[in-house]
Amino acid sequence: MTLVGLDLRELWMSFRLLLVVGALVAGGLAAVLFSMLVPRVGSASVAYSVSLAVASIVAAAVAAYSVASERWNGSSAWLVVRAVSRGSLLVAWLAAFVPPVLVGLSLSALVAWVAIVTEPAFTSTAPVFVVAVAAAGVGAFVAISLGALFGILLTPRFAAWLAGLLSSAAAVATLLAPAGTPLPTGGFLVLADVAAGGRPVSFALQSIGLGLVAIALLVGAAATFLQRADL
Amino acid sequence: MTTSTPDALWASRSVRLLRPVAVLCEGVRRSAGGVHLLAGVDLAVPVGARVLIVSRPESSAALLLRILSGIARADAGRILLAGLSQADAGPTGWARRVGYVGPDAAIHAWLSPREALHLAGRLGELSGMVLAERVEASLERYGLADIADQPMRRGRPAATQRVALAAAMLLDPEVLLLDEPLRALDAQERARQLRFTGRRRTVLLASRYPSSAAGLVNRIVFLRDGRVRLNASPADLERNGLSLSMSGIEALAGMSAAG
Repeated sequence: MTLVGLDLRELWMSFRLLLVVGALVAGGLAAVLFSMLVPRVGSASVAYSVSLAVASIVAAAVAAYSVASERWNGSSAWLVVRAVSRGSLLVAWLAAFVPPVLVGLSLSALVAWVAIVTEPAFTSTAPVFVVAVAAAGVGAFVAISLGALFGILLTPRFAAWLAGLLSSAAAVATLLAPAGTPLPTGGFLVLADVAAGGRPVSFALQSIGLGLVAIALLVGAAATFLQRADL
Repeated sequence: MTTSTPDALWASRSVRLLRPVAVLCEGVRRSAGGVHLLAGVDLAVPVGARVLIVSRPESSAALLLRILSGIARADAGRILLAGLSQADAGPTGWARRVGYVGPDAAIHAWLSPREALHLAGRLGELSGMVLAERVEASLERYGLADIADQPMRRGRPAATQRVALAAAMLLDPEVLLLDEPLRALDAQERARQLRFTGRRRTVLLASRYPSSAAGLVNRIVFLRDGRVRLNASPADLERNGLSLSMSGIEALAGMSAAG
């Protein structure tokens, strides 16, 4: 907990915490804005989904920059000399992203729900929306884990750029994938179709499962590289 | 070979007379970019020694200390510090026995000295009154009381480096690894801070400026091309009319190799 608190405070002091929360909340506001500007079925949910994908890209870049900064400015070494295990450093960073993502996602979901539920011909239910948001949240954590991996391998700015770039590519690939393709980031597709009930809850649950597997693989790779790295 | 000892054993006079080894390196190797920075370093440092490590290339000595502290990895070799390998040691055991201070303080700049010391103590599993007392004593000892609650980014580099040393000393480590520490302090103050007391504490000091360690060390280890070429005392330099300088140490290493 000491390390998670330290990382959370680092995010707060560097305004990166506000950036992550702000990007997620902006997703909810985008849903409201689009529902007013384009009053047809699905406009709010599509806007919300795309905005959350963008927020995930921001979170990935922030995670990459944060992890890389701690390594390159020597703070990781300072902690490791105090017998903090290298794996703990990584887990602490990922845990530090849980509160801002949860807060940001909850706030944005509340705002977006108000916009989505007032759409004409709305056919979905609140539980389906919650599952879809959870699936999108797992997708965001896939991006954050990718950012952490790059943060261990690269310099802060390069890591942030590459994490943002690859997360963007993953988001585009998710949109272009044939319908029904199981994806760890499939939660964003479920969310985009949530107003019209276009994709079943089972698809969202499948995305959550795949997302958790992807997170485990990315964190495992990051931990392996971190064990071998000079700090 | 006897290695360093837990506290209970160290209390025994007979154990102290054995001069146990505090730092043991066997065949430590490390390459970077095709260069063998460490090409099989064998070194045994007895408890209580104050050792200056210098090297050609200059980065080898710093790298050896970084490997000893666990923040850099060796390609091969065996290392024991204070009788423990880092892999085998419990986390608090390692933190209490080994301290490291690098050339850059590398502490989160928004922490105050008091917060940094509390953090270092908590990571070493100190708590309550013991931690509070040690932190206050360290703030006084290292001249940080006046700026104890100011974020370090507002202070001078010298103050931040004092905090780094204070944090390393907070758990009273048996082995202290110093890589160009306290560079921002003037020479006199630096020497005063690095004059450690206690026969039990072993200090390894890597420096590119050997003369700055005059009076602080009782052994000199010289690495060239990744191997130990000289393990002598400052008195050996004096006996040969050489000064405690890079050229003097290299000359003594040459004489040792020839003789």
